[in-house]
Amino acid sequence: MAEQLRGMTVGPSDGCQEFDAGLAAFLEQEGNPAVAAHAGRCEFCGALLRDLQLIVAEASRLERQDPPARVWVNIRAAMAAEGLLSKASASDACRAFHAALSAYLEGENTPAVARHAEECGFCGVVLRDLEQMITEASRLELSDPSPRVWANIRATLAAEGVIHEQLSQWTGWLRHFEFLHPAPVAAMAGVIFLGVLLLGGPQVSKRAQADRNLQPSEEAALLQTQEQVRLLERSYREQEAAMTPEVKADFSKSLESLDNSIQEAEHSIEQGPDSSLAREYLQGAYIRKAEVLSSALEYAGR
Amino acid sequence: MINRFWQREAPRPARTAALGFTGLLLLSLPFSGFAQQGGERIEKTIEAALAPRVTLTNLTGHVVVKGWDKLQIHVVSTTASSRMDVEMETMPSKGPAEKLRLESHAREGTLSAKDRTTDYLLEVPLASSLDLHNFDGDVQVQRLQGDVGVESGGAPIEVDDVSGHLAVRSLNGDIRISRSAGRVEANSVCGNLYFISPTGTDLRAGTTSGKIVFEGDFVPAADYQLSTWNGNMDVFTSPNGSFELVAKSIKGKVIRDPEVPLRSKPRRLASYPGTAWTANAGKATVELTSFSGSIHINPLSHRDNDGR
Repeated sequence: MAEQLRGMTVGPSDGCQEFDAGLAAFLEQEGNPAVAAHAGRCEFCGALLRDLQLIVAEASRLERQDPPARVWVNIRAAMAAEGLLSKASASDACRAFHAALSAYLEGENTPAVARHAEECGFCGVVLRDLEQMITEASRLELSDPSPRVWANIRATLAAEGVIHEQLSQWTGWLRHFEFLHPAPVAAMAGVIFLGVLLLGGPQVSKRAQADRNLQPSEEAALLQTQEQVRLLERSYREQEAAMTPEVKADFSKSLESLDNSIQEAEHSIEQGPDSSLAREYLQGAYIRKAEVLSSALEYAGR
Repeated sequence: MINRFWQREAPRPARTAALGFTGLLLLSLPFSGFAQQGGERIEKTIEAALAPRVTLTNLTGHVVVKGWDKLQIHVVSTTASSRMDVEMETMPSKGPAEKLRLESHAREGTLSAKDRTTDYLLEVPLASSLDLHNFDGDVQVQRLQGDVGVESGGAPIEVDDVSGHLAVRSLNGDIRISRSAGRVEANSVCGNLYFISPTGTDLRAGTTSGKIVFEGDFVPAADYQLSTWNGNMDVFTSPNGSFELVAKSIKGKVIRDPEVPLRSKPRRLASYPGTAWTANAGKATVELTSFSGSIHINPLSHRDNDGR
């Protein structure tokens, strides 16, 4: 019909065919200057493009939501009438399949879903498609933007007065030294700590080096924290004899728990290097351990 | 003192900051009659401003802080040994106190835990803010409208009816927070965390080997982040609640009681197991995370019936 309309105006041309071929990509914002250029020359194609752009614009304002259930029912009925669906596919079993599908895909134990998918051709196709999508999606890289991006966002927000810059966790930690009572051990730990922060500290950790899948910035942060913990722990071991048995027991219990957590996370990372949550937990456990050790050193210095 | 280094956003009321550094220097005079006391009970009542800031640092002992309707601070301290001192400082030195600092000191470093004990009972104006460090010994805080920070070692902490920003930390002691109305941050290494009927809009809590129990409705538009390492997590909430919930555990299970009407929702796929649900209109945001603990989502009625 489009060809007929074109014939009624200026007549179809090779340019119109090229326009048709590139139109979908153009509307998808993929950029195709030939389409725009032809629309400017051809009255019909120009009108068509304007209409389609208007439809796209209006459609984008529509609320995105699933069609009402009756739409799906009608579609299913139409497909069944045309023989595209077997009658059995619209059964209660199909409805039960769809109701349990999300849970099945979430890994819950719902054997009825797999069983129905084997019996019903339509549902089987749906399940296979979804499983394929999940498989493909799981291969996509899920990574945070680089630290530079966050730094720029933060700097911009701070410049606009949207946020007020806070001291970093460790800088804030050191700030507390201003208010300390004389506690030479804790102060010494702080100096060591500051030194590690400024100098970067030794860059070697066998366990962390084995974790090849860490992003460089993550790996550096983890190595730094591990080194801080090692230094603090050494000071703590030298000072723990001065603690009362009750206090020592409290700190020992906490540190033992954190050590277990660290081991568990490292083991988990070895088993599944892609687990970002395990890496977050590992870093968090080291930081928590550094906090506890710092507290212990301050307490010992009292 | 334990945990002074621990990171938290220490509540700092504007009123205190307004005093200024110079003013603090001039007004930091020791409160006469309270230093050098030991092995006995000391009681004192001080006229206070509307919202004074109270700081208490103690080694060992039971500490109870209660809000009351009077513009006075009532302090009762009981030391177990004459070798313990209680230092008290008010600012300003004359007129209603805007700041009160209490600190226990051991004259000798070799005192036993029993001899280091000092118990405190404080009654303070309702709008007071509080910063409390107590290494060993129960802590109870009740009915305060100001910001509250509590840090402890191995003993339990119980906080009831606080409406300001609440920041609580412990090494091994359990933390129980009831009917909080403000922002809540609670963290422990080995302690269990209990939250009962919080009504604030921001609750963040984590424990390494302890468990977390949450009991109450999720407030619309509020944000909840609960995390354990290997401790289990039990959430008891109303079936009528409106919230989005993401629960994930690397090695543990996520178990939902069917009596909690949750709809599964598409979730971002990640390399660790996670489940996303929506209850009703999904007004609150809830994130439950554990490394190897199990996460249980139960109806509030089960909490009542089981009495857990």
